[in-house]
Amino acid sequence: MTELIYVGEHLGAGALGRALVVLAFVAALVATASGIVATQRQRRGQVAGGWGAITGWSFAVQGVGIAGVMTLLFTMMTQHWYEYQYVQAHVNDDLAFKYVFTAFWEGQEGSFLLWLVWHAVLGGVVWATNKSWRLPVVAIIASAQVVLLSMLLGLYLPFGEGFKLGSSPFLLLREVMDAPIFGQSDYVSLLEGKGLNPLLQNYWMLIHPPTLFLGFASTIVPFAFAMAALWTGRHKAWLTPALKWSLFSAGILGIGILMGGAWAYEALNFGGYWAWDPVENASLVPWLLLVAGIHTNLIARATGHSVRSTYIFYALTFVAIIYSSFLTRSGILGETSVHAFVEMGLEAQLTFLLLAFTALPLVLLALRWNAIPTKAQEEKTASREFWMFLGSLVLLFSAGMITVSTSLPVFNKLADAAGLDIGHLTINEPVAHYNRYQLWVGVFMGLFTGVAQYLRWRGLRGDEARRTLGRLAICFGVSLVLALLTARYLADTAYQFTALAFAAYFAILANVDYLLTSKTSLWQRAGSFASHVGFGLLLIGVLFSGLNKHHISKNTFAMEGLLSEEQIGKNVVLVKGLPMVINGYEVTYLGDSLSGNRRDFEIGYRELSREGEIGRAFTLAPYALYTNDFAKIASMNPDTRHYWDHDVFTHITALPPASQSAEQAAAFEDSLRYERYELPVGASAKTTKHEVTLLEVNEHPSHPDYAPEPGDIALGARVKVKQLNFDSAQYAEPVVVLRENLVYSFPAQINAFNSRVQLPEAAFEAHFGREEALDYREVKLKMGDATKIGDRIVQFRLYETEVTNPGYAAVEGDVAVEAQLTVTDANNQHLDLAPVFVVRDRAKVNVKDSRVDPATGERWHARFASLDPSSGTATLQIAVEPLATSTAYPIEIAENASRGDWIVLEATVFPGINVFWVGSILMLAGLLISMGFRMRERVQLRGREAKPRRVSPTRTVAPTPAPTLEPAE
Amino acid sequence: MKKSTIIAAVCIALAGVIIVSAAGQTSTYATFAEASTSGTTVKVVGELDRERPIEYDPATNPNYFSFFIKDADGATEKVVLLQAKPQDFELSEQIVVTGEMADEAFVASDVLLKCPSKYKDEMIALKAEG
Repeated sequence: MTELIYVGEHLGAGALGRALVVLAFVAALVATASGIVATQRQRRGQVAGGWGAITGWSFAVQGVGIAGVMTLLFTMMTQHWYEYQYVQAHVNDDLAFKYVFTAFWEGQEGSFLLWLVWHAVLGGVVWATNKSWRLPVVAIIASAQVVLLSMLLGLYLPFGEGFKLGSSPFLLLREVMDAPIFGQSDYVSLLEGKGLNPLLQNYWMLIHPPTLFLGFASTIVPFAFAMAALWTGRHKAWLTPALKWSLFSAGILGIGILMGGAWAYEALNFGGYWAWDPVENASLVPWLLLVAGIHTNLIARATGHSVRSTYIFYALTFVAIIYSSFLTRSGILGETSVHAFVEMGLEAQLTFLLLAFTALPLVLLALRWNAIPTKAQEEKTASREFWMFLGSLVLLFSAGMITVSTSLPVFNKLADAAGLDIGHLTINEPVAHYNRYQLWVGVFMGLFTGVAQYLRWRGLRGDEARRTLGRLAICFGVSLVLALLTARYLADTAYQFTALAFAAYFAILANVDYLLTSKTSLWQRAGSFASHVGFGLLLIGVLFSGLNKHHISKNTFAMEGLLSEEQIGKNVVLVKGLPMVINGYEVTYLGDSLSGNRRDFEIGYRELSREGEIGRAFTLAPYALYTNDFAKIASMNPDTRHYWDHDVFTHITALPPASQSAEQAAAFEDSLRYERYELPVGASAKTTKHEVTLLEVNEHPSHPDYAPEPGDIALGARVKVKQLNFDSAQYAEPVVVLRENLVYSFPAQINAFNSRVQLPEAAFEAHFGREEALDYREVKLKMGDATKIGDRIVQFRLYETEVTNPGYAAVEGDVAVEAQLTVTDANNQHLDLAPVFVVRDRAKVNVKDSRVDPATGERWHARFASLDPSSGTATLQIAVEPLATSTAYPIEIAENASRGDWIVLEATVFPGINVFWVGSILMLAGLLISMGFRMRERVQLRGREAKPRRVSPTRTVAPTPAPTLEPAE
Repeated sequence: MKKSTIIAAVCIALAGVIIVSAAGQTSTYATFAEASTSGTTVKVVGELDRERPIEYDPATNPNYFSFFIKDADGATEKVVLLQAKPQDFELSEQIVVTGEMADEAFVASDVLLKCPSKYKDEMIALKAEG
């Protein structure tokens, strides 16, 4: 058998990509090794010399390699080279360019690349900005790059049964799977991409992953500083640069997490911003630890306490980041999370990464523990550092509890591995479980935050204490009153919520007091103030939106007495055009429209007061997104009306079967019992319930679901359906289309009569058979000319570019001309005909016109076949059809078609949710403001260092402690 | 006594209390047989029984959805979810239902679906190849 030679593959790109991965991997190895040697030489007082330069250059090569891999893979995706598995799995021809980015980081490999590239960038920034620390810090970052890059190597190692090291993003589809298609040498041209999940085709998904991964990646910097400090024994000098980086990291990571919440709230339909999903928890835990680390870092810089804790917190943060990747990428969360990755064979490598970067800080801490400076004297109770430290402990508790609860699947797996048959542990009500404990974290954090702001580093002095206590007491009292008022308003008497409200108000008021009275610089106050007030507001927002959220769509009246309170459903059925009054609103389903693969709904809301007065009115537009092949609904996207004090969130939970999926629509069609009637135009027939009249047959019909394409042969019928015993009549326009040898039927639903009318394929035969039977006479006429047909005068009155013929449906780019003709008989009775000539996509088509002559009952048909632009002569075809030969059209009607004009709606009011968003943004902005302040401080220090004057090491005046001077190199 | 000692003691005590109280909120995955005897909220893992009807008729009641799943012991029970039918329900391979056993059916408050992923398809293809 000869080997197949494939055509159309771009094998060079894959080879280049693999080479770049290997290059980056080797360069990262070199950077790690040379960085270690250089740092060791410095420690011994030698000159790093060439080793330093090698570290820098190889780190740069590593960065360029990763950027190259990314660029290449991205280009392959934009070029739709489907022979590559990663390309085929994530994009397709229809995907908009901007979503290629989203598709890029949707997969495991792409998101690893994002993480890698941020590490490289951040390492570069450290290299460029911090001469004194760059060698050890970059060496540690490079070592992480080695392990991460190994995940992309895709090497098969011949140990045991064969061990796969990493998963290359440059695998060909035919290397990954076996399918008959690969037996063809031109298989590439036959491939189609799978495309991007429509749920992810959302602007949040463009910006959320890069931000989150920048946050993830940036946690390595404080970690690397901590490890470098332990390694080189400079236990104080690292505190200042590490603080700046951890402020940056906490700010960005927090924004990344928050964007995830915003995406969930805006685009997903679970109706909330946080669900305690394991994947969410996995990103929250490192953030909590990092914030704890920032606080001990501040303590350590200001007082010399808590240096050990700072090491531990920064180490834990990075370990938590790796653990979180392990959880989400190893597939272990399969049974508890909806959006975990499925296993990719990287468990072993991920476990190694986790163990290696847990062992490193453990070993270094063990070696250096006694050398880390501590203070003999304990913190005073009335000192800021004491309460800040307690706060950090609370955060540690919070992180620990979330980690343990989220890790149950890991324990289950370990128990299985150990052969223990204890069953798989799981939390019954996860949301309630997390809320129960994290509520108290919020309470303590709020209290400690407030108290710490009243105090000073190293305790209050003299009569300061009494004044401070007085202010503290006032703040306490006011917060208590506010909390009790809030509890009354919320009508929830559980004491935990009152406690949380109290802590939140206390944090806010204490920080306002701090902002107004503190004597430190405004910049320094601003960051701390924003973060802590933001935290307080966040708690208030959580309290209001969580406790007071209520479903508008809960139809309490209808269900009263039938079901218990919690069983009253969240969903209501709305029939088009029928307003429903529910829970303070009048809600109406106004209509829907289809464009592309998206069906938009229009839901009208009117607020009703208790007295029935009508308040504000607004319209919401949730939509359903179909898969690209229209087989089913891919996602139901909500819409939300934002007010400053509450949001009205709306999404559609179900649609009639015909709109739900192709399968259900087919099942619904199958259940219909159609009766066929043969009707000439103008004739009627009686069914059991209705009288059906065929009014008109049209070659250019319109139907809400039918989008005309060039080359279509379409037929539509205008049918009147009247109820037998009543006067009410409805009109329906079923359409049948022949497109590339396939027949598409577009039935028309008459919801009021639960009926459905369709035009069967046989209608084509009837219609075009009739056309063939017609004896068209061709006449060439100029404008104003007339000719005689039989005993009638046919006059070509004028050309009209504003087409009046109702059979013509304009398509963009059409050039259309109508010929307006008048047929006059001996009695001077007129009959107007308006055939249309159209140039569409360079093809000539025409739209006929036909009318019945009321005098004789004959039907006149006119076509506008062509137009000679130079002479202005029109070629017209005219036929007269005697009444007797009029053809009958098959029309089918089903009278058991239940109505399809309703939706199932879920609507929720979230009070105070914007307080949550504002609070969160303020809190994270505060971190970044503080970072800005520290950067400025550094610039000032540089200026100071430039002068020969040295800062006295004994100077210990707050607010900003003088930097402790240690030998720089 | 030193403050740090007190704090450490409080922390340890608190951790103990939390672990004991949180342990009460966990359980192991149950079967339908265990669910009917326990009388409390449990989680049952099962597979959708495609032979039995999957009923959702929103025009009648938009908050009533029922289906049958087969648990680990192979017992099949009707599950009622008093909510709208989740998207892509028919595609699910594995279903985790949280709820209580009532007289005629298992009444679920929450349903978690695991849908086949595109990666998984390829893994299966790979395994078939090897």
